[in-house]
Amino acid sequence: MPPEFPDFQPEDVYADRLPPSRVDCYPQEAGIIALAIDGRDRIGFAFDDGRIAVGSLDAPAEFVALEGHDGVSLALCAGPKGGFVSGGDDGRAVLIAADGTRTELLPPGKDWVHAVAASPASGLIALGVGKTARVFDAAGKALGSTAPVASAVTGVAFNPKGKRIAVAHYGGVSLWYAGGLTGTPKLLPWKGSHVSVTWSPDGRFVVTGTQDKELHGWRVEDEVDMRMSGYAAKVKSFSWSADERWLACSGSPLVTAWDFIGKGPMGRPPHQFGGAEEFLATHVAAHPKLPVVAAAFEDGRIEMGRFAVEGQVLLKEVGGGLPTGLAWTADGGRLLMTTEDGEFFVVDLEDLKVAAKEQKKRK
Amino acid sequence: MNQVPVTVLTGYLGAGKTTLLNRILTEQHGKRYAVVVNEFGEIGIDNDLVVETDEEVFEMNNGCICCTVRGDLIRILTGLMRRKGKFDAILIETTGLADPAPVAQTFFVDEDVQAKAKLDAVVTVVDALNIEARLKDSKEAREQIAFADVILLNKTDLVAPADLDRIEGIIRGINKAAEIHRTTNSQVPLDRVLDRGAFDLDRILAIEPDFLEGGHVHSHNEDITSISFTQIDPLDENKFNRWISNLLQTKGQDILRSKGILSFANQDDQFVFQGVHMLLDGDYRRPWAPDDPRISRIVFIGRNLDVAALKAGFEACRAA
Repeated sequence: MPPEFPDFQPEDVYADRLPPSRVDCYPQEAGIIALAIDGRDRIGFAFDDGRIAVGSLDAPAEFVALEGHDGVSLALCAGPKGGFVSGGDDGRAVLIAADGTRTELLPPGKDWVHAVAASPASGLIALGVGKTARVFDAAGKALGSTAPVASAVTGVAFNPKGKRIAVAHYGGVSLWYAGGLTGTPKLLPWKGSHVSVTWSPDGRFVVTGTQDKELHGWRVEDEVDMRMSGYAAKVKSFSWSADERWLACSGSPLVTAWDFIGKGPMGRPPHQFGGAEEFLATHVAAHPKLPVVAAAFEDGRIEMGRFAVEGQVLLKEVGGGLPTGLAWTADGGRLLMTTEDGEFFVVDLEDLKVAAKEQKKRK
Repeated sequence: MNQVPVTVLTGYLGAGKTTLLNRILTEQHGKRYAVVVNEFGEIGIDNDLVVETDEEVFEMNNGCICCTVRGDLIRILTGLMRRKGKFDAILIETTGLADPAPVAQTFFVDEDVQAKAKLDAVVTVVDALNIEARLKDSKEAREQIAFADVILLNKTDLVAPADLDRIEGIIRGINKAAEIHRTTNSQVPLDRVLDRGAFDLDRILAIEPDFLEGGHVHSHNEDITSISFTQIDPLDENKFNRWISNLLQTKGQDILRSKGILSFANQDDQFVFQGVHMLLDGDYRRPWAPDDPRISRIVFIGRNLDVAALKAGFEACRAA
C-alpha cells in the first residue's frame, strides 16, 4: 500500500511544531491512573483518589467527576454503547453510560476487579472478579459467571463479534461463549502466569503478556503456540493496527510490532522503533485509520512510528510524569496522554485526520 | 522514587503472629499500614487498609527451577501502589504453613513491585514451647526460621531459662544472620521489627565468622544450617560476580538465603547483596567508615552446604 498520509521523516519533530497542550478539564489535583475514550470521543479518567471523571474535549470545562471506588480503579475501558466501565480494588464495578448515568454492576466486595472489557459489537461487558469472569449486558444486567479459574483473573478480552471471551489466568487462557458461561471452557494452555490478554480483530489469534516478560500467542483454530520474547518488562499494553495486521506492544525501549498476516509472526522479526534506549514504552495506541502507531514512554515522551517503515517522529518531549494512558480520538486527529502526576496532554495531529479522510475518499 | 517498605510476617500456627500484627496495627506510631492477610480472622483494624488474598503461588518460566512466586502479591502490591500516599508501609501476613521463599522471591522478579516496594524484613514468630517438636516434623517451620531477618522467640514465659538458651542455640544454628528477640505475647519494641533495612546490615557485620576446624563440616540431609566467612583482602568484583552467580545457579535450590557486605578493590562504598535461592540482588550502599576495617562478610543459609568448597570459592575472589 503506498503512503496515504503525510510522509514523515525521523528528523521531523511534531512536538516543536505542535506543542501538546495541557488541558485543565478536571476539578482538582489528583493523579490520573487510567484513561479511556469511547467511540463518541467522550473521555474517561480514573483518579488515584477513586473518582472517575468524564467529559469531552469540546467542552473541557464541563468534565464531571463521579464516585468511582472506595479505593482506586484497577481497570477502565470504554463501555459497549459508549461511556465507561471501571473495576476497582474495593470489589466494585461501575458502568457510566454515555449520558452520565451511573450503574453499579457489582457492589463493594472482597474480590478485586482486575480486568474489564466491553464489546460494541455484542453490547456485552466482561469483568474479571477474583477467580471468575462475569458477563453483563449493556444496561448493566448480570448475565452470568464462569466457574473459578486457576488463579485470579488478570485479563479479559472479547472476540471481534463479542460472543466469546478470553480469560487470562495461571496456566493459560480459557475461552468461553458469553452465552454459555456454565459450560466447559476451551483451554489454551501455557505454563506460567499470564498478566494481560488481547484477541486479534480478525478473531484468529489470542495473545497474552506473561510474567516471564514474553508474549504468548495461540492460533485459535488449531491451538498452535507462539512465543515472542525479548521484552524488558511485562507487556501490559497492546494495540492492533487499523488494517488488523500488526500487533504493537509495550514492554521494551523499542516499540515492537508483530506481523500477524498469514500463519502469524513466527519466524519473522518484529518491526521496531524508538528513539531512546533507557526508557521503556508503557503504552501503545495504533492510529484508528492509518498504518501508524503512537507510543508513550516512561520518561513522558510520545513517539510515532509507521508499521514496516524505519524510524519514528517525536510527538511530545520528555516530562509530565509516568504515562498512565494513551488514546486516539475516533477521527485520528488528536492523541491523548495522561500521567501519574495528573497531567493530561493533547497532541493535535490535524494532518493525520486529513490524511485519513483522503485515504477513505481514494478507497 | 521512594519504595514502600514491606514487612513479611511468618510463623507456624499458634506462634503469635496475629498478636504481633494486632500490636503493630494498634500501637500509636503515626504510620498507616496496608495489610495483606490470608483471612480477615481476628484482626481488629479500623483505620488501616486490609486486603484478603489466597496464596497464589506459581513457577516462573525463567529456567530457574525453584523460582516460585506469589502472583497474588504482585497484583495486590501493584494495585495498592495506585493509591498514592494512602499508606506508609505494607505488612504481609502469611499462613502458618507457608514456605516463605515465594513471598521473598516475588520482590526479586517483578519489575513493577521492585519499582515501588522493597522487602524490608522477614519477621518470624517462633513458639518457644513447641518449636523443637515443629523443627522435627515441619519443613516449613525450619524454612520460616531460615528466611527470617528478625526472629521473635515468643512465649518465653512458658519455657525455663535454660531451655530458652538451648532453643536459641538451635535457632542460631539454622540462621545466624537473624536478630533474635525473646518475647512474651509478641511484645517487642516495634522499631525492632519495622523499618529494619539499614539495621540488617549491622547484624551481618556483627556475625562471627566460622572457622574450619577438623574434617567434618559438611552438613547433611534436610538440616538447614548457616555459615559465614570473612575476608580482609579486597575482592575482585568480576571474580565475585562470576562465582556467586555460578554458585547460585548450581546450588541455589539448597541455598535458601545468602547475604553479604563486600569490600571490592578500588571502591570506597560497601557492596551489599542478598539472594533468595537462585535470585540475587546487590548494589553499592554506603561508604566504608574511615576507621572501620574493610572486611568482607558473607553468610549462606541452606542445606547440604559444602563449607570447604564455599570457603575456597570465596577466597578465590580476592583481588590479585
